Amino acid sequence: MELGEEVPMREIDGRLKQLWESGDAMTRASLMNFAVYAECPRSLEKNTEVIREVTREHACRALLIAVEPAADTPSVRAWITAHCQLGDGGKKSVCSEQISFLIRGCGNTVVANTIFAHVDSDLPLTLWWQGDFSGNWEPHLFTEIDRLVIDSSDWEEPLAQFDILQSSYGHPASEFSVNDLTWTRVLHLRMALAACFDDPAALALLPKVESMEITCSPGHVMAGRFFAAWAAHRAGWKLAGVAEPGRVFTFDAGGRNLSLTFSEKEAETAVPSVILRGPGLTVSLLQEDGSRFIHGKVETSSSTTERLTPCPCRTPAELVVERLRRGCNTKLYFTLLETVRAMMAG
Amino acid sequence: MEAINPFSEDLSTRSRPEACTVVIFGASGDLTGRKLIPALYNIAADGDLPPTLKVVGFARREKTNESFRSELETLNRKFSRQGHNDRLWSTFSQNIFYHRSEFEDKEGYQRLATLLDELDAQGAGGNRLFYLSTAPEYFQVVLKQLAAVGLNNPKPGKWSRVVIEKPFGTDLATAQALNTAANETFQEADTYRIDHYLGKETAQNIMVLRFANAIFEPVWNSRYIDHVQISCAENLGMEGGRGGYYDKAGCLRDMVQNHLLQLVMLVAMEPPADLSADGIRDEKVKVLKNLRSFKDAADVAENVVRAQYTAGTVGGKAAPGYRQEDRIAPDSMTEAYVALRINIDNWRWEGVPFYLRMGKQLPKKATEISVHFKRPPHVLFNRGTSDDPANVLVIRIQPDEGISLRVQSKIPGPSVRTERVKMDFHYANSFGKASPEAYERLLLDAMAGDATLFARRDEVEQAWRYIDQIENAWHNSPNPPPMYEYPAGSWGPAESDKMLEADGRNWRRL
Repeated sequence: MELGEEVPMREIDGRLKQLWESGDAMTRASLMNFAVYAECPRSLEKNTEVIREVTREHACRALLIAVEPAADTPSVRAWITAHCQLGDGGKKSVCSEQISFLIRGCGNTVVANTIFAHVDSDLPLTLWWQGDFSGNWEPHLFTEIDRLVIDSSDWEEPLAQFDILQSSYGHPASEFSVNDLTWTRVLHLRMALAACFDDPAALALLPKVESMEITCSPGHVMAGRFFAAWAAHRAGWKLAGVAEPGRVFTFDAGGRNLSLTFSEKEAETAVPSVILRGPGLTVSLLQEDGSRFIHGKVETSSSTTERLTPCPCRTPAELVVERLRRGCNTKLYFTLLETVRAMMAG
Repeated sequence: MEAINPFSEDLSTRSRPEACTVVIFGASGDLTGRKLIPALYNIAADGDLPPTLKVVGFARREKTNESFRSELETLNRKFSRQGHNDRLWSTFSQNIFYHRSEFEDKEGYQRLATLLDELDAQGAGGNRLFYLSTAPEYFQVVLKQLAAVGLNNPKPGKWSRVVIEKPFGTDLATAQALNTAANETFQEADTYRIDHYLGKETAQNIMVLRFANAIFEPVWNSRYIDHVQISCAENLGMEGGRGGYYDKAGCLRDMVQNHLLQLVMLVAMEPPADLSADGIRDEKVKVLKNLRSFKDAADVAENVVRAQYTAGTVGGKAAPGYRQEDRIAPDSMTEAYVALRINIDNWRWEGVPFYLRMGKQLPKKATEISVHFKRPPHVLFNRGTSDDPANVLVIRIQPDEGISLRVQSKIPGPSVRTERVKMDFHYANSFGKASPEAYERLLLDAMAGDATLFARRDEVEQAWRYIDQIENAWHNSPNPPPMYEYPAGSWGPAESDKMLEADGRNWRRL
């Protein structure tokens, strides 16, 4: 994937103007500033591919920032390009612009300054921070952003990262919402579970559920934990104990015990299966490899109902597209995080 | 009281449809295959369709469940907004059934009741949504037969609703008769009169534009607004056999009575106290009640222009005149174009005319609302020129949905000269994706029990009360206003332009 034309830092705006003026049939579109930060020089190519997908749904000014903190000689290089798709019945191209920066060996404030020097004013700023937080995650930056996108499944030290996240969010000048792609990975699974309990017969048996089994693919146990925390929060179950650290937990479901078991299995999706069981009720949500649907099944003593819930989010680009389409209930996220942390500690 | 599903609570901000059976009367008609089934399929593709939802097509032609599903599959491949997925269709279509019966046949409805009970036993849930997509002359027949077999009465703890397609009557008397029949059969709260314009994103955005942006409402009145134009231009004539229906209706009944007056209401209404269905509809209907009545036929002639197109050229192709079109009477007195000057007699809109126009075989297809603000009180720039410095806010309903604001800007250079420029918002550019079809939103709302985007009885009747004055002047007065002509492919009759010119205004070029 080409980063486009390399341009001197001071000429970025002028060269962008030339870019738009050069194509008669190009229409610039933008609904937000979308900055993507990674501490990996090779991330620019990979993230350009992601942005190409994202801009099909969300027109934006994309700012890709790759940082190499350990470089000996400080330098900043920049490239400009545009991602276009045909709109208006194929008559014109609707395009989003992208500015890529490779920042080597510079001080902490360079990242924030680079972003703020190139945002489209008046449009909201979304920052996708890839990987663990570093020294570049500083108040000058995070107090100016509107949405933060993270992926807690990618973190090497999740508990420490959650601490940083919570303290940044609690900063008096912070106003960002938290958009964790791990949480987005289970969005459609949550919809599928909700849909199963739209069935009155299943809903009547919810208070009798005795167990929940969640299968996660390797590297995605965090998604399973968030799903479990959400289900428990919604159903009023409280984490009561750890039967087997990291794997089997006990919940207090209104005076009765409910067991939660995590298992692991190679699969294309983060959480390939969830099964709830109780007397006269089995609710299963299965995502087969290769399928774009979650197969929901409700079995009661008198009937069996099945339904398909679309699940279009797997790749990073698909997850970001879905995440940006929705608002984020950060308060709920932090409420669930307490249960997730407790499960991690157990 | 029904238990609440705790898992659904934080998942959606929109109305959630309840499990039900949708019965479509007139299921072999065009609307079912082109709009209704693709809408339901796309709701399923978005994961919003209740899993136990069943669809029963009720029509007169001989079909089996399998042949009905197969026909619908072909049409869904063609018309589905999100494409067609075989696996999803396979699950979705298993819940589609066909029921053959004459509309007048009571026994057919008894068999329908039996079928619905069987589907309830299979998990449909007991709620019923009856969708009247038949020719209008069957609306009351179907309502009567539903009542005869008790299908209008919901089961305990369940609901029965009816959705009625347009045209909702052809005048006030027929609308009242249909309303009476509907209200004798279903509660008003369970009666959903569809106006698909209200399902369009751009129509829904009018309220958001007005009431979610603090800069507009303070100037949204007669002190700052000079006039409002609402235009609906079509570049088609009577292709595809439409003439038979159209020549009986005309564009005043077909478009103005419902769609265009709905837009007038959305632009002119006062802020509702809340976003409840009745909160909004109460304010909308007040606008209709404040429309200034016509004194007599001469008053109609002064404020309403009707016309038919003559032979011309549209889009580079020769087009016949209206009276030469297929299924149009050679001596037809039905209008293919209408322009109105509407006055709203209330505090906000005193002295601000609303100009409406709708026509067939115009140069292009476009529907838009333009709000024309008054000129600055003292012209400092471009003095002595004919340049109009007034700001114009344009809400484009279709196509190229969006909003633009015309403002004056200095032309670069040493002299202080100004030129009109546009601040432009396009849905496609900002949101980058297609909006859902209006029928998806409306079906979702009907299944969820949200009547906000449906017309209420008093709205429909009040609109007819206004339109009937014009129809009566045209067809029942001793001195009917003339029927003007315009060449197909032009922007309508000269008399329409003159109506605005008499007020010192012009139609906006679309």
